[in-house]
Amino acid sequence: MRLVAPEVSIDMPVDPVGVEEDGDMQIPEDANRAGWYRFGPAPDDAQGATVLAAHVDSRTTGIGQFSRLRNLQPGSTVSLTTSDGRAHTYEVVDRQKIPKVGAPVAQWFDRTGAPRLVLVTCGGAFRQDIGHYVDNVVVTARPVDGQP
Amino acid sequence: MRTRLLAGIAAGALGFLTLSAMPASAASDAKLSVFHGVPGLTVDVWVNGKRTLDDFTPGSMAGPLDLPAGKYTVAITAADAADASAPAIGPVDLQLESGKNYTAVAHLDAADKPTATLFTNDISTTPAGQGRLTVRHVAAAPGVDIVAGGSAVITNLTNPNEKVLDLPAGTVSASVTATGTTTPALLGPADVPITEGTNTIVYAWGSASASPATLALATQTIDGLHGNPAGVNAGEVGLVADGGTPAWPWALGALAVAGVLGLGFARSRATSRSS
Repeated sequence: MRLVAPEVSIDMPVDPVGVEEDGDMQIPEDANRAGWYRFGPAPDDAQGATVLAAHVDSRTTGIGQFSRLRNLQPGSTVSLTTSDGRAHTYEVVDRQKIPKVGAPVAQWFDRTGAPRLVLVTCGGAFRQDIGHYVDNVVVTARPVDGQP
Repeated sequence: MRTRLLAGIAAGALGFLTLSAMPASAASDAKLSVFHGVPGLTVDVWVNGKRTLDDFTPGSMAGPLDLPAGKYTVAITAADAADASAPAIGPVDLQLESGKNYTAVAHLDAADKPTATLFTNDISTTPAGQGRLTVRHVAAAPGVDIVAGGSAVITNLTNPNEKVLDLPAGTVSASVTATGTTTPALLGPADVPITEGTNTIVYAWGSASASPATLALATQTIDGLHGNPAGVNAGEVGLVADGGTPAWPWALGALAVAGVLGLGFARSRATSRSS
């Protein structure tokens, strides 16, 4: 899989991922690779959210491409090419910065409703004491008409 | 004619012709599947006095059917009995609660005698990344262990009991052995898929004492139990944190704390001086 968002110069490979032992979604350690939650919907599914996440920054690779999600404007085009070589084109409809505490995780990973693409990374302030950012940056995109 | 038609439907796991005419699919309905685990005996299944599964063959699974909550009387007769008055098993009363998921199993007890057991299937949400494995002992056989990866993961499971495990999604190669042993396998090894968000229910059925033994495995799956990841922690360093470089707020915080301590210290000195 490959994710491309030309307006913000995102062009990165996507790996299928699962969950960490603590229950969080697995994220590729390389901040220039995104993870697709393989237990949830895929772009070809008739329903639900295809969820991709990537590190905004990483101990090993520094600042990642998803640091630019915060600049991805509604109306922008995002393309996800699946392993069969087919490109799925989406249009950004929403971008939010949401505190992680109480974040609507069930909505991001929803398996029902209209097919959509959900891109997640981190943002906001960084808490040195726990080693995490306090917010998530979440972009939602809908399939462009006429696309599978 | 009717017999042949219904037998085909039962084998296709879409049985319950009679009952399917009842109001179904309400959110508060119960779900009921039926598994036939008595070797060598083709049967008819009667629910509330009506023939519901015709020529139901050993190893077959039927359902699930959405049924309004309530009590159902089930009798199992020889195939094509005129009515349910002389059942081979039952009649048994099944009390089905709304929202629950059941499998009624006709099987042999540990002493080779036909009986029936109603199991309640665990349809609670599975942790993200995991699937559920349910193992049910409905065979005429002593207690068994389930051996995976060279060691017993379930010990001394006896008829008619079950064990339920949540496991990481993947494939488990498992054998059924006499309890307390790891070999020889009474059944298997068999590859059991542990599918994320799915309860995979494995039945060990048949008879160990029959000659030849008729032990076999059957599988039922219930999907759609997925849990969600707890969250997305997708940053490790703070290089792109809001409010400038991350060291600053903490340095300022430390200064503030030092200031408060210093002030407190000065106050306590002032206090002690005045006393």
